[in-house]
Amino acid sequence: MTEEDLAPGFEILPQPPKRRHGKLLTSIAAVVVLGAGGAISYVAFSASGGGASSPDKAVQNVIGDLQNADLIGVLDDLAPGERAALSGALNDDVASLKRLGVLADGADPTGVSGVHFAAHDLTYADKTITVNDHVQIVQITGGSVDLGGNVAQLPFTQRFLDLTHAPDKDQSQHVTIDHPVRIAAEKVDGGWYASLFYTAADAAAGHRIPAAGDSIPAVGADTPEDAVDKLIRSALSLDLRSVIGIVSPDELGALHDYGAMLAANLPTPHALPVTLKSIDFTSTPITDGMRVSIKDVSLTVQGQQINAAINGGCATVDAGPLHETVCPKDAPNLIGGLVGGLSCAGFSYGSSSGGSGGGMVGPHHVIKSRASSHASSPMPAPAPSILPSSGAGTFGCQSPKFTDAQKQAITDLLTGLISSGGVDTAQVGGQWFITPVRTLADLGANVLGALKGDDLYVLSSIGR
Amino acid sequence: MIVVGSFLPWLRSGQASRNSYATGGAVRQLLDTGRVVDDLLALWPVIGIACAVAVALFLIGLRSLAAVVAGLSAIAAGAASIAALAASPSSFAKVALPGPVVTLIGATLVALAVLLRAFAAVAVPRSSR
Repeated sequence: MTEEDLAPGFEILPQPPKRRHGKLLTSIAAVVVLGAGGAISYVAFSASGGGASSPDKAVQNVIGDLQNADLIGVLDDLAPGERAALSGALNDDVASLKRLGVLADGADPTGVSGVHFAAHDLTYADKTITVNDHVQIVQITGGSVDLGGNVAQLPFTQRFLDLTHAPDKDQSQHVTIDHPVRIAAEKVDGGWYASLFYTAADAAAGHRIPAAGDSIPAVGADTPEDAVDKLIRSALSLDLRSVIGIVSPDELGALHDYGAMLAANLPTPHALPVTLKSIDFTSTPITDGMRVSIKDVSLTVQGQQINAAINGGCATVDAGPLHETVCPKDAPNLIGGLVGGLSCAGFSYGSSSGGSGGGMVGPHHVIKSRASSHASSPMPAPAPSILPSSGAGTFGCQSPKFTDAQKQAITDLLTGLISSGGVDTAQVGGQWFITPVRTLADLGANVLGALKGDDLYVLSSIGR
Repeated sequence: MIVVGSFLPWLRSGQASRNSYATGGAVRQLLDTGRVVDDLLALWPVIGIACAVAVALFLIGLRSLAAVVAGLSAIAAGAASIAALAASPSSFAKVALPGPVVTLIGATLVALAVLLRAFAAVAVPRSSR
């Protein structure tokens, strides 16, 4: 609108300057809000893990978490490789133990008063002991620790407590630290973590610090199967350096750093009379790795060729005249026969019954004798068998009698062992390595996982 | 409320409690969560800056965009809260209620606000206001 558009008598008054303060304040507020959001996210990222800022702090974190009975915190404080080896199996174990009626389902973890750990006035050495560029030893030089427990107050079921006859009383111990307690801390990706395995290695080495020459370098393989193959061949040829070399440096770096020092303390083993002819594997993916199981293997033991294959949960063994297929359901009879044989102060040998080249011994035992399958042989030699035969007990020996429930529990146990038996491998820096701790932890978890219902209690009743 | 709730206890283990970020870190390190969940948990700390961006956009007048960011934040926070509340306790850890509940309330309020704004935008055209 211009002056000409206005009616006579009107004029345009000067406008007050537009208020820009409002926009400025809004913009400042927006920037402040964004800054606060950024700060919150930074704090949040910091809180989501990453290790401690120093070796001392890493050890203090563990002690603090132990005092709080904070199992998650303790696991979180461990070096990532060690944590990975233990945590997966621990989770599975807890689930299995609940299912099997060992741990109470509705246990309140915040109310666990079964174990208590209290550290008082702990003092630390001024300086840590440097092992290498990523490991330092923290020394607790003084203070005291109260350690106690009452099994009856742990989250076990009453049935388990009754079985173990756990006393419902607190057992405490007061320990005054009068000589340094050494705990190792490992630096991983810039953060410090307490290390169980370096602490154990330090103790095993008598607190001596390994020199650079004591280190056994990690040498992995191109595939998981090659790693297990290398492990088996190295073990059979008693090449300890190669065995250690193929072990994951993430999980057991301590074994590499202290390797030569620890190996020097071992007695020189005798050569094994075993030659590995061939070996074939099957692999199954697991979290962050592969589990490698033996599919079939061919060995020569003192000149005797032995072939073994695992198929469908059953193991088939060929050794000269012996040809046997053993399945988990055979286990109760096998164990019964072995125990019966041992009770005679010697092993008893069953022989295949029936003269037509092998036969059935027991309801599930498939036993074929190559020697006896020769029709032309006038007196077929009895095939030695590791399985109990109908003749078990011939010498007056008593095999244990299992109930149906016990047989089923043993079968479940063996099914777990065979189906999950394998070596866990993981990739580090593009190469494949063995993870022995995780292998053992997973094996335990898988065996527990294979048990059903009352199996654990039924197994515990055997021999009682 | 979403941001405040994220700093309240989400997990108790023994006598210790953890906020949502420490819980996310522990879950990623101790459980086999799978790639997708692991990536989402890794991104969870971004929720703070996302809420801040929504507020900043609202302040500078970009209200539709602010509603979109706020809506996404509410969905993420609501999903995290529900997942935490639905998680089964283990024998050594269990979900703490304050964090997930406050976050869920915050996420619900934000989601309602976003829906109301969207409804208003559709039902009351700009020209008639």
